Amino acid sequence: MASRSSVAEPRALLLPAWGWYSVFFVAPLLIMVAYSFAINDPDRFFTVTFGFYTDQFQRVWDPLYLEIYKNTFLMALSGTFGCLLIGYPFAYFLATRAGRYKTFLFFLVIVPFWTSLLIRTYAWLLLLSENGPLSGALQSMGLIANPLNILYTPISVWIGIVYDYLPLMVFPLYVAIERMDPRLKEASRDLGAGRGATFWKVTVPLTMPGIITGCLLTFIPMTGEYVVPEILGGAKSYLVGNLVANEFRTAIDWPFGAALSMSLVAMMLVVIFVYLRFLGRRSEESLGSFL
Amino acid sequence: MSDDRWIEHLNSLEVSRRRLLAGAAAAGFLAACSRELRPNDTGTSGAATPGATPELEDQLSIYNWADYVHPKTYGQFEKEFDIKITEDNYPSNEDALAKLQAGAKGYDLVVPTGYMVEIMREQGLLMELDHSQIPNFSLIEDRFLDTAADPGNRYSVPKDFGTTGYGYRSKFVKEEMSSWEDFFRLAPKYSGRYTVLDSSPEVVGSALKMLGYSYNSVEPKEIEEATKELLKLKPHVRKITSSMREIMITGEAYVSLTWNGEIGYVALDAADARYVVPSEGTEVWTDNWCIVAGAPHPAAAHAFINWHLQPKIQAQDTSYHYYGSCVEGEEEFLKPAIANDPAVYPAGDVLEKLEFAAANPEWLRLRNEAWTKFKAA
Repeated sequence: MASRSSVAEPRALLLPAWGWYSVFFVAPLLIMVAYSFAINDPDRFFTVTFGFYTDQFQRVWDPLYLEIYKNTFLMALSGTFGCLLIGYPFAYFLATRAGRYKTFLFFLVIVPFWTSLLIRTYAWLLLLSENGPLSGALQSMGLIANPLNILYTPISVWIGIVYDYLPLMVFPLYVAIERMDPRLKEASRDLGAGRGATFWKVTVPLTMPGIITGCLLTFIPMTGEYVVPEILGGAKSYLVGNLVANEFRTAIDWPFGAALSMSLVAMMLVVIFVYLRFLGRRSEESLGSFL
Repeated sequence: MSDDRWIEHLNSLEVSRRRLLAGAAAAGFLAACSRELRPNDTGTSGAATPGATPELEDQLSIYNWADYVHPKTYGQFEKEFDIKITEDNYPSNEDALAKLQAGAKGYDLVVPTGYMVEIMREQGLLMELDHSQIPNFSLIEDRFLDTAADPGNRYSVPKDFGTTGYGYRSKFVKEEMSSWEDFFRLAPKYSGRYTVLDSSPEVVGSALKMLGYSYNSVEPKEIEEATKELLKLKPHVRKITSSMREIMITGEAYVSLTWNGEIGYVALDAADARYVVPSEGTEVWTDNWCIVAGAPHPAAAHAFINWHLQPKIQAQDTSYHYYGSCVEGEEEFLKPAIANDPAVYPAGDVLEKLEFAAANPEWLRLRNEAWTKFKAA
């Protein structure tokens, strides 16, 4: 052990990650970039000419496809908001009030990860169906007159993605709230602020890094969601992920599929940039904590 | 329910005989999870010298749609030839193509639909057949041979055929349905009870046929008109899916645009299910045995194709998957209820109006643009 340099050794620790990343992340990404600038042969399937053609990106600007991007962003935004609305109070409780139930509640958040997302999404299919338990319960409580008809609509897609990504919101929020010094809240109360003012002016700003991290962690994968709209949306709600899959799998149009996904990547980079820009140093800290 | 029926019922919930696993998403997932672990055989490719009887290998690897032969079929072949069969499944032509293109090795037989035979052979993924090893080829009816997808059948042998039409539950739908016009006209009345296949050519083609155009139209104006009809249909569609069996059986859906065999299956549990070969005409397709380029066991593959063309085996499979056989003389082995079922064997006048799909990139691009509009609406 004697002769090893103390500088080289920690760097060597990064090698597996770098190797993995460049082979399985960077390389496929570059292949997709190359495809997105290629064009198809109109007469033969799977015959593309590589080069620097912008044809595919011009097609992306068709209102038809922009509409799908818009719908995807709205779905991801509302899904993120739903996660925040449910996740924040829960994380707050977990961090400050759960006491001896903390471990148990954490356990409950993690349990779903033991089963495949696909199977859990199929379970929602049963829960939300018009003859399902949710419909029955709401009817017997007299809250709705007719069987619940939300399956295969954007509402069921929304429920599905909020469910799927909620843990990703809870974890960073929990960390942020847990880290907050409770004496700051006490000071705020001592100085005359009410509960509401303390929450909005002290707790929320102090936990902002957790909120931003949680929102990014949920928003970004939601924009690429494929499984939930396919199953709970009855393949009728078309998000970008489903569109891209269709271009690759059934339309046999790899260049266009690649251009659609590269456009999504570009838009995501803009979103992250805006976060960094407008939310300042604090968001950099929060990004730094997971990037 | 007897044990057999119960198992079939379970199958109906998740596995379609012809094209499907549990939905496109599941399919993608499962396909991704089941990368095959086959040894990378370096068997000799190329057909054997005509006339010579090549020595049969002791194994055969089949890449097929799920549940697409009678459960006894493989066992009978294994016993007769002392060849061990292994089978992997795919949920769509596109999945099979993607996997073969990615260089999946070790498969001998694959079962693409006509248009996909064309794509696969152009991609060099198929081995040219040695017809001298398939004498039973002469039993196949002429109308299924020598199609645009594979002139001269140099690469493909029809396995069975089916049509793209629609099924309905007469318990819920009071009208007698017989045409694409009926299908589109009644959608508002049974709003939310319709399903359509999750596949652009079939759905766009149905509107084209209703409007009196060719199933294979590549006229942008005609496609546009068809798209308008589809956009009118969209609000009434409950689900876009190729696995409609369960919701048709439970009565969650009343009308489904699908393939004939699917409705044959639904009728096992819901006797009031009717299949319609629309009077305006529609698509007819064949699925075909093809030998994969570089197949490790080409002689066994030829032997299987030839053996499987026997009318008796054909009848056995048809009575299981409700898709019609392409060979002559299988009727005598079929129950009359199936042999005389116009859903399995369409009657003469409709037969003339059926079209095979003639795919090319432009054809597919037009259909997928219409499809995106339909899905995004």
